[in-house]
Amino acid sequence: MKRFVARRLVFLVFVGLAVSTLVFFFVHLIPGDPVEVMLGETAQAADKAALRAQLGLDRPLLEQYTGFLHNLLRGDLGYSFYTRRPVTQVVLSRLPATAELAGAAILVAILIALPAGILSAVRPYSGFDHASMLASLLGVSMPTFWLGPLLILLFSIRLDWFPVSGREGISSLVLPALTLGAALAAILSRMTRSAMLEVIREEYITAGRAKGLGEKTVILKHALRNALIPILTVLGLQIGALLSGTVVTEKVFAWPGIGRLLVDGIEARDYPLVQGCVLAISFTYVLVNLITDLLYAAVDPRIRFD
Amino acid sequence: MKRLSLLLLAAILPVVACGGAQRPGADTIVVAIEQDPGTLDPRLATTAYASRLSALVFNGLVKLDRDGRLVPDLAERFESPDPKTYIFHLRHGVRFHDGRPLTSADVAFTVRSILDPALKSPRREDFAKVVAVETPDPFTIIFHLSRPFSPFLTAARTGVVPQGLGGKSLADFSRAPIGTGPFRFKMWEQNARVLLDAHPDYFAGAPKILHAIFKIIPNDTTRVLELRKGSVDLLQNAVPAYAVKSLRQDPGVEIVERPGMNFSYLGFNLEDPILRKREVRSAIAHAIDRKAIIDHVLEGLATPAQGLLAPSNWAYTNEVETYEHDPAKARALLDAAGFPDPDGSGPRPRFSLTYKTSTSKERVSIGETIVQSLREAGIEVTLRSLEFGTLYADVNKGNFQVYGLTWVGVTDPDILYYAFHSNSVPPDGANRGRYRNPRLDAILDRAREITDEKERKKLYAEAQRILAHDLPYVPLWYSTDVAAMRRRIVGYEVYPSGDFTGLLTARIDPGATARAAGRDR
Repeated sequence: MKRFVARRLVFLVFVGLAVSTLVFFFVHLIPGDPVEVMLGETAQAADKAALRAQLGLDRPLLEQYTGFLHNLLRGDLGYSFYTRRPVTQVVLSRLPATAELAGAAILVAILIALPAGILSAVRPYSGFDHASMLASLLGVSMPTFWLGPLLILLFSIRLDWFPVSGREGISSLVLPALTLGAALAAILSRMTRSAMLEVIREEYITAGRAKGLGEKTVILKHALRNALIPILTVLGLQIGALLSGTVVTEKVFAWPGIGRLLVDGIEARDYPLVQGCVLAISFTYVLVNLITDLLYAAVDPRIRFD
Repeated sequence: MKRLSLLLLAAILPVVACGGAQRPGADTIVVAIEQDPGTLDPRLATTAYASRLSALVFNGLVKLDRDGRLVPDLAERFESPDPKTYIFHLRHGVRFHDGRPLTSADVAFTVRSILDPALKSPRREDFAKVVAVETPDPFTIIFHLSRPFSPFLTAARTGVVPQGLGGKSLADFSRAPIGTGPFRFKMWEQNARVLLDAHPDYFAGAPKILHAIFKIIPNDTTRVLELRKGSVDLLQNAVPAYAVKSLRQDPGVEIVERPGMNFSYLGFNLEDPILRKREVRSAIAHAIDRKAIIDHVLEGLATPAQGLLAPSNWAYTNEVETYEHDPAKARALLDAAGFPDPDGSGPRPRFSLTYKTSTSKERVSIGETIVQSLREAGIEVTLRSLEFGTLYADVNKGNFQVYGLTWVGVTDPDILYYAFHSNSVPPDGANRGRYRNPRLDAILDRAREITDEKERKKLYAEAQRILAHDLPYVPLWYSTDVAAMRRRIVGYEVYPSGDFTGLLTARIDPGATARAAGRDR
């Protein structure tokens, strides 16, 4: 177990290296000039050249890359071109908002998807099953930038229950979490349904019922637990989609998270900031998948990591 | 289980829903802005919102009044005994927000810090001609320039910071500044909101609104919904045209319009073998139906433009060539230029062009309309909508045939030097179309060096005539400045280019909403 975790953490280093290499070259190769953004339109060519030299942007790309790696190994992500603050500090200050939003979205998704999926599986092809599968089709197909304003119109303007946007108190978390969680809930409920359907046909379920166990125990304890592995897998994989979904959701709800930081960084060609954001997002993704793998063992004791 | 979680949800919703009804208090205005200002230090401001918000916290030596004229601000008066010397006499009794009085040493510190390359100030070029700064007494400051440079007065609008930044580091100061302005800094949550409070000792009288909250809301629809709900009081130039129409129906919202000066245009690459011919550019100008675009895409929120300088600019002239919508004339001009239509009104074009513009929804629909108009004249146009950074890089590199952009916040006519002088080809300026005209160059050089406003006005009038004839740009329109506000905000005036100066005189009257509703029905 320990060896497994250690191995995965070493793997994390390589993923980090690969991701940062890709990001470094992508942001440097897209057209656009950070110096132009920093100094404004009226700056003179000489001033622009001086700043470019100071930031090291006039050196060959490969040399800039080795410098970047060197600093990265010391844990130094550099300074944001635009706000002139340390990237690590900026990214860390925005991470909690995104973590809060993503966490709440997962919670929303689980609270909707598990009951809906289980009920659908217990009574397949019933009215409820059809309704919930239709709802999940809608959930998957509705884009965030459309669902968000719809929820605002209903819950904020018409019913006046929640604020329109911003991050002030728990009430402002509800609508963005619903918006972001909807697609995940849809996929997850479909997955839960099919995983449960498969398990319910197993002989040990019949055995459990024959033994006289209550239906609740059979479904929730014996069936659900065995169906959890594929559900967890999908959940782990969907975290990536969730993190990219925050980019749009954060914009619609003016949520000050890392997704908007990344978009602003790209628009300003703020290379260090973009690198910092992408690294943070990809590390989160890899870590979540590591946790998913560890959860497999907790759910199914037959799984060992040695 | 399902029932349980539904019950849970039903129990949670009303509990967390308590914050939904929050509205701003009776002494607080909430303004939604599109972007984080990035910095509040006036010496470092490059974005529109950095300038607009820092203008509330700081004062310059001079400022623009509502008609776009330079008038004294921190300086009580100024004079220019010769074209290379500017003397400013400071107001007495001005205090920074930390209580310290303003002196000429603060002004000298501000200008010297801008000139220091280490600050990387975007204002540095504006002050580059300053060779010496003198402070003979605490209320007099003298600038000596290396050569006559009349746009210097415009640079004197830059906000004055306290000497030594009030003991703060540069990083702290740009995030929690100390100025002399009508509002003092209170709090800033990056990318979420900026809070300002009225400065009770403001020399021109404290604002009536005690607290101003600037909420950063990047999404167009969300900003409009916040206003409709009443959790935001004011949107200024931050409402898409299509939403203004629906806001007009809302009895709780008032729309105030004022002719603006943000200038939209089509820029041509004059090194392109087709576009270098004046007849072609003139044909394009005649082919475009600006009125139709203004009426249908911009919902009437613009006025047709004749050139970069708006009618509100002191140097503006209307005695220039204009190009009315006339497709027949456009076709005739193209025939004369040597581009006959190969199959009359058939599908084959005279020639093809690429038109580059940004990804904004409005720009794309404007682009589509222009493509349609030009097709009727026999010109095939491919519309390419590019992310702004990419568009900007392409345009500066000269990697375009036709592009569409907007000049924002133009006040000094010296902008013509920056946009059309042959010394201003990027990276040295914004002559992106590589327009070169020695006669115009001479006029713009001369206009920089004389201080007599009448003489300058004559020179700039001639420059505008040359540009309207040569058409390095096809002028499209000036966007109307639009403020959409809740009716409880009373006395808010719209200033040029989206400044928030109106907050100084506005007040909040909770009863105004009810009265307005009664009147409207």
